[in-house]
Amino acid sequence: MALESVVKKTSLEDIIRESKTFYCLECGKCSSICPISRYDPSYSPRAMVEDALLGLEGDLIHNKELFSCLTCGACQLKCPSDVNYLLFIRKMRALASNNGEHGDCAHSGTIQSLIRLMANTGVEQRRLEWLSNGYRTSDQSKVLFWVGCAPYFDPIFEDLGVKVTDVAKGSLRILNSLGVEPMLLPDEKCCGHDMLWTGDVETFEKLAQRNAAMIKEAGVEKIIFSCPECYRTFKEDYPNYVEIDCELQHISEFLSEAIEKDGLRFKKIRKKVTYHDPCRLGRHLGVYEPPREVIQAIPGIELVEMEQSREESLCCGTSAFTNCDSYSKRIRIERLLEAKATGADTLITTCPKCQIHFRCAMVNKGEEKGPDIEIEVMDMVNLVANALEV
Amino acid sequence: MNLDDIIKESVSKLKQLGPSPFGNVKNKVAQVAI
Repeated sequence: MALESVVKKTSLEDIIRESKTFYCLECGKCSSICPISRYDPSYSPRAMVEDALLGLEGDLIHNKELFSCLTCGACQLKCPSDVNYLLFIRKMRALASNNGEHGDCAHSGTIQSLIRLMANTGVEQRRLEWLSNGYRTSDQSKVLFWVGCAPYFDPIFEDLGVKVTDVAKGSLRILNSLGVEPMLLPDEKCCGHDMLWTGDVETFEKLAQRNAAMIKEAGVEKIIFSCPECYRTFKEDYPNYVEIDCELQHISEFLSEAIEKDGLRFKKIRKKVTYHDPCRLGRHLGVYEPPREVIQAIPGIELVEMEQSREESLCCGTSAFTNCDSYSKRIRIERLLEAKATGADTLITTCPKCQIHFRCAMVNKGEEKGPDIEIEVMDMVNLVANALEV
Repeated sequence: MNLDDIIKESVSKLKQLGPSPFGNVKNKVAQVAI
């Protein structure tokens, strides 16, 4: 379906119908579980839905709180009426965006500008500069490794001590050790996740079309992702706009299968770790066990669960680099304290953005002394790459 | 100019704006004492 028709024809009535908000019982379970509502009582998913059902379209699209939702999906799992609040928020943001509204861009809008440059210009990329001769890739491979925006996150977040390209390097090291020499696309574009979730459907569709054309030309049969946001976008959202005729897998699923087939050998690593489920991989896609299976396959690793894990997992505090504020920071602190309470040495995640947000909370502490939230944060891929027998 | 250089230059300019490379957002975040 063409983009303009999607955006222009979507009305509040369509959104209510598609997201099934008319089934809302006003029980308030959504607001009671919402991490934002717990810290900011002025934000209420239940009240948003109520406004929609009362037909208060103008109030809703100009309500800045529309962009406060983390889109973590916790509310949806508790809703007894199966209201699709994620779809409701996403479509309401598109409607708001059409009316000139937008959220507060974090990091001075650098990331949003970067994404729009990728979508709207032919500006050259040097996105594989991090790739050294130590990794084997092939332009003829039927397996594509999707790098994501890691090469751009590194300079933006260097102050936080996060190197997202290390996740790409670790992934390649693991794939190579399994005999996979994947293809990498030198002109890969952002998947568009952040644009879609902040209402800029037009930019999202341009990115989807560009990526789909490149993938078709590449002739690959399978795409492996280390970023859950890219994975979710390809799996759940691209089919509404473009055709991607490939098998899609998150690297945790790929590794879980490889371990089952006895394809990976690990050395012993003595470490107590806890695992943080990213919202996109967990609640959005239901991938809870593969990362845990991979972590537990490493001898010497003790995996301990946080109080809130799997479906109950707490969000890392912000999404789509929008409306990152004091409430977002409190959520991150709460999650880091939960991780520390397990006694783990390391917090493992499978999402580069979770890693960035947790590190940001640890580095940007503010002036007053608070609780100790320092804990090593690592991507599952790097834990595995470090444990590989050379 | 390529995208990588644009990003690096943008980040560098943001850092020149003050001690916080990301301006108001970090200031807002810093209101929460931890």
